[in-house]
Amino acid sequence: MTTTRRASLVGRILLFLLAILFVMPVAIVFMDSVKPLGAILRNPLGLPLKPSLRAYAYVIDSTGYFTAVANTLCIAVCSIVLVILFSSACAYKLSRSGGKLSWVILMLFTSSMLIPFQTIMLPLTKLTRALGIVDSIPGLILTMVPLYAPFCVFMYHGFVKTIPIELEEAATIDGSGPFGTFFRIVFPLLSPATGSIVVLNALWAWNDFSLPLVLLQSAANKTITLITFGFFSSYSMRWDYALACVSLASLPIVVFYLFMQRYIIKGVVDGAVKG
Amino acid sequence: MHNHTRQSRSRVAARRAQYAAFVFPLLGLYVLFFIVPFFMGLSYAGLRWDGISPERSFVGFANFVSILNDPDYLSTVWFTLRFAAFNVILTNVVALALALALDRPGRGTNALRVLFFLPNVISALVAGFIWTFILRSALPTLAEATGLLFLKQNWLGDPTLALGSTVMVASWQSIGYTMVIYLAGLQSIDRSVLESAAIDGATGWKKLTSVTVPLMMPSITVNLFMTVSQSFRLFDLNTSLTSGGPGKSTLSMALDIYREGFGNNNMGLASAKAIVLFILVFAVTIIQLRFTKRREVQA
Repeated sequence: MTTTRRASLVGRILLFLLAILFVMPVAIVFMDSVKPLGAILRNPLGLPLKPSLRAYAYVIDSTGYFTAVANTLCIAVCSIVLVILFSSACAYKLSRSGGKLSWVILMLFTSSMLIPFQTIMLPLTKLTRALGIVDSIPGLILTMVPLYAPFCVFMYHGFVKTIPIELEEAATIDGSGPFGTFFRIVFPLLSPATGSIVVLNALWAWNDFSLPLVLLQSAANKTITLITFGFFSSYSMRWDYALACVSLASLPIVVFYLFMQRYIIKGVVDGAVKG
Repeated sequence: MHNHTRQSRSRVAARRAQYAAFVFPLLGLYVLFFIVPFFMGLSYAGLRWDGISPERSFVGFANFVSILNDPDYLSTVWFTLRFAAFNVILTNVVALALALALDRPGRGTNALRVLFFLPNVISALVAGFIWTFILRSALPTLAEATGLLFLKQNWLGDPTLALGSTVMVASWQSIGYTMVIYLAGLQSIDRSVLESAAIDGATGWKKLTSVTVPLMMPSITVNLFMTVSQSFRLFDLNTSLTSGGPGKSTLSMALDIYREGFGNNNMGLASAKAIVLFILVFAVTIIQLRFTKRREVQA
């Protein structure tokens, strides 16, 4: 008995060591970002002697960091709201109606998982240019919604089936219209799925690189990933600046993750199960 | 009778209008920004065109012939295939092992999950930059300080090592995600099935392969699907870690499409490459899904 328990304790300790090794690269980058360049080159694993935010100040100044944060947050919030609105409504009707048409539409949404983004990337830029929505934040949001939504449609679709239809029938008898029934009865019951979708979409929107890369151009319309890319490419030898830049890009999302990890991981699992 | 038909006709119309109101906004956006570009790309693949000027000429399948005879393109395809194979195998094997280890009773399972999942929440672009620092600066410094000189390789400058580095970073990011799904799959298996298998004499490896894995097939299907499709979409990480280099030895098909279209201004060739990527992803995914779906067992 004791041998098994000791073995499993040793196993756990080994797992923790492995886990710490796993996150070490991120920790090292955060730690080294407050060190001067010389210290980074000489002793990357050592604790900072005199932590300084000088490099951060430089990066914020030369990349328009706060504009990028504002843009990225705006994109995230707007796309989340639109995705939730459209995909829940769509999944609800598809799930309740059943039938051939709904099945065909669902299959159409499945194609989003089979067609890689790069296959539509170039024509998409042509299209958005022709529509006059290129290089604009609203244009980006509008294009983002149909790219993120199919996954959410599948998540909501499975979830809707767990809601007893009697509730909607009762509401209809009481005189509620279709939209009223959906928003007041069904949508609140979808909140576990909505919670997961919010945090997952937040992650995707913050970290998206290729879509902003092809759709945004002017300096006022930069996202976090775009300024990180631009800055790091020019400063790859100035590790002090480069690491500060990378930390500025990822600290917000890591903090978000640590607060929301339960919902994020739950969202990942739910998405996989329903997918 | 007459009133009845008129009422039911307007009710059907109302139902159809409701359906449209709920479904068509998203469907419309999806068709416009996803399906339409797909077909646009199909038409571009048959053109010689720089993507901007109004002059374009129809060349039929010439673009496809030209890329399939281009040794640079073929090595891009070969790199992508090797990357996908290594990444999928490494990610899934490690993730499954970790999930099995975490499934045992023990303290701190949630903390372990949080730690292993963390690399997944950073953008792939940033992950590449982080590892550029580690592999170009931190690790060589550490190697010299500790005397472990085998760590001081040209991890990103040598073509073979660069492939390995790309696989390693991609797996580093995906392992947590994949592990979490395997863990959920493991936890959904009825304990009594595992116990009765143990009573019947199945232990260790035998239990794993004959009982646990078949019962976990749904999560294996999902994980294989996700890791395969993500591998072929390698773009962000490719940009930040190696930028396709040295030369073009670690260029992924996805990044190649971007460069061909925006760098070389060759919309026709780029679109042809985009179609080939789609066909490849489609074929591999369909084969993988049929293979694993057939093996899904009900407990």
